[in-house]
Amino acid sequence: MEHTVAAETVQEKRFQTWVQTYGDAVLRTCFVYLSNASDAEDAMQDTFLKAWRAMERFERQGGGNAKAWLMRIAINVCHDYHRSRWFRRVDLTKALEELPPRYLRVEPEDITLTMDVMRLPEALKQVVLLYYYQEMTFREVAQVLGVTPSTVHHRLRKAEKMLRVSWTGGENDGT
Amino acid sequence: MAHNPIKHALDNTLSSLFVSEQDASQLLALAKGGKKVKRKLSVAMVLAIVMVTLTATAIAATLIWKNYVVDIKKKEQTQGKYANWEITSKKDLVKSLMDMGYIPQSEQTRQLFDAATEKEQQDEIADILMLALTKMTDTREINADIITYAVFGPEATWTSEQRVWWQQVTNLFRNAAHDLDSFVLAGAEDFPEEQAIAVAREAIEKAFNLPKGALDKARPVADLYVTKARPTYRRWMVQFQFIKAGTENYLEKEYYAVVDSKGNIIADPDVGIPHVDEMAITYKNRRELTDSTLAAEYYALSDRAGNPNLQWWSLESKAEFSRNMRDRILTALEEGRIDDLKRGEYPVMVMIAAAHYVYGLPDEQVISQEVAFDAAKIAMRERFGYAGEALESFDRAAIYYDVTDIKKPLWRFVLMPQQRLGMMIYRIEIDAKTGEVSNAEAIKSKPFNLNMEELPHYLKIL
Repeated sequence: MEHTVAAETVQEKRFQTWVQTYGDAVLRTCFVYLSNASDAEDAMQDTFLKAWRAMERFERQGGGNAKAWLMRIAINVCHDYHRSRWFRRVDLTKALEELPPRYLRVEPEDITLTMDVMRLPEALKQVVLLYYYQEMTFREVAQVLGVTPSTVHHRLRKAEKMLRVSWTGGENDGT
Repeated sequence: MAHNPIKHALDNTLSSLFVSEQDASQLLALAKGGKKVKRKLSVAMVLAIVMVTLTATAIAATLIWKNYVVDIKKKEQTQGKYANWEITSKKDLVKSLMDMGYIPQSEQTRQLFDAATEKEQQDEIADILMLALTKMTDTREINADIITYAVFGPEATWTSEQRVWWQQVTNLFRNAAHDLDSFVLAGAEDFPEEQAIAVAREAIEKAFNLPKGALDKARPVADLYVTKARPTYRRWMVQFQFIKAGTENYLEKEYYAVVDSKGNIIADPDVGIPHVDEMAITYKNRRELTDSTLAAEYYALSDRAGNPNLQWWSLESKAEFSRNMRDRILTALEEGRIDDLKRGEYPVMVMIAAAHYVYGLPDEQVISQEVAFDAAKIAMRERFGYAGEALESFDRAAIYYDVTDIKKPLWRFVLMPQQRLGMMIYRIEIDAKTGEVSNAEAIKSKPFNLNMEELPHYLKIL
């Protein structure tokens, strides 16, 4: 019995660490993906609940890269939401305006770039979120999405062209 | 990544979205409880669904699925999606879909319901049948929504009744507090749907200066709606959707307009949709009109060079830039004509900074790029202590052949680390004639800012 309690405590601690470490990034990734704060909160919740349920299996398989694993779950959850949501237009400006008030000053170009990322087609948005926002390597992104690194590279280049940024340290050129 | 403008922009813009300690504790409690927090179904909402279902004119099977999908969604809340279900639930679902005529009887269905079939095999058969119905490749993708699309087809091809019903169903199972609009069924007193589509089509073609018939290949979708702010004001949202060839739902492009009850094109601030004329102007401004001539020329060159950023162009493209554009850019700068150097609202900083140098092509009198790069790596080791893996972490170098001082041509390598804003960028210059290190400096990377005050920084990284 003691053993069970101890195991639960370890599991709970690990879960809390994940939420604390990756919670913001998961939530923001979901927001960019879904363009709706309420949906993003739902998706973030779904992501961690799925992670909780699958935690034991994840540990049994060696633990590995928790961030990549969580991101795979988040992307799958968002993908499901995205497919199942009503096929409707989304006013990105309004979506951003409806966020809780910020305490930091935000440059207009940051908002513009955020909206440009949100406007990307789904497949390109996925690679941009994982590579740029989650700062994963090509190989990690490829693993998360179940595609080859060269596909990731190709999609990134396409996305960069649309966003006019460079993946190896360039600037936004003023779109 | 030396600069990661996207991470910087997203974190800044979305800084108010975060998971608090309270959220984290709640998540753990939910996880341990095993289910998600969802809004409870109100009696009024359930009644609304029943009412809409009753008024629908679909076939009997459709009606049955309409009722059944609500049960499936409820089950998903307690048991998760289809892939997680016990075989009994999977069989129930398959049986129901068979009864409704969506899954035909076959040898597989016979085996599924044969008590002699092993449970594991039953599970496999159920999955095969459901994957075939939904055209999915992974059972994890199957959920109530996906089955609904398999049964009814793509949403945009549905009747108005179906769309109104579906919006109400989906709202029941997600937090709809932020939903701005509600679809309603059109009555005899409403402006007719076909006329609304015609009005919107004409307005869009005119505003966007599209050739006549340009929207003929688009899929028109019209929804009559009201908003919380104006619950009795009924207007049409008309969309023209261009769907990617070979797909049912992949939206490539869409135009839309709001049409009021008298057939006028309007802006609708309740849902944040501007008048179609305003949308067209914004679109044109963004895409075409505000590019200065020089910026447009620069981007045309970047298209030919195969990369939007000059740093990664070939030496030939950089030399072409210097040869054809540099003088005009510097003249515009001297005369204070910054508007001539803008794309949209912002100056094209890389272009402006790059015009301060003359890029050329090496000849046989100077050391090769490879030899120069080896010298740069030695400088990285000797001056900054980088070697082995640490040096490899600088995955790519921007390469320049600088002939600003024609007597002293330089190979310049700007080495950028693989990741992390805040790390250093190293700029190493090698004398192209002697192979000696002419300059080696470390520059702190920083978020991009598109204003002229940042020019000194841009000059350092080019």
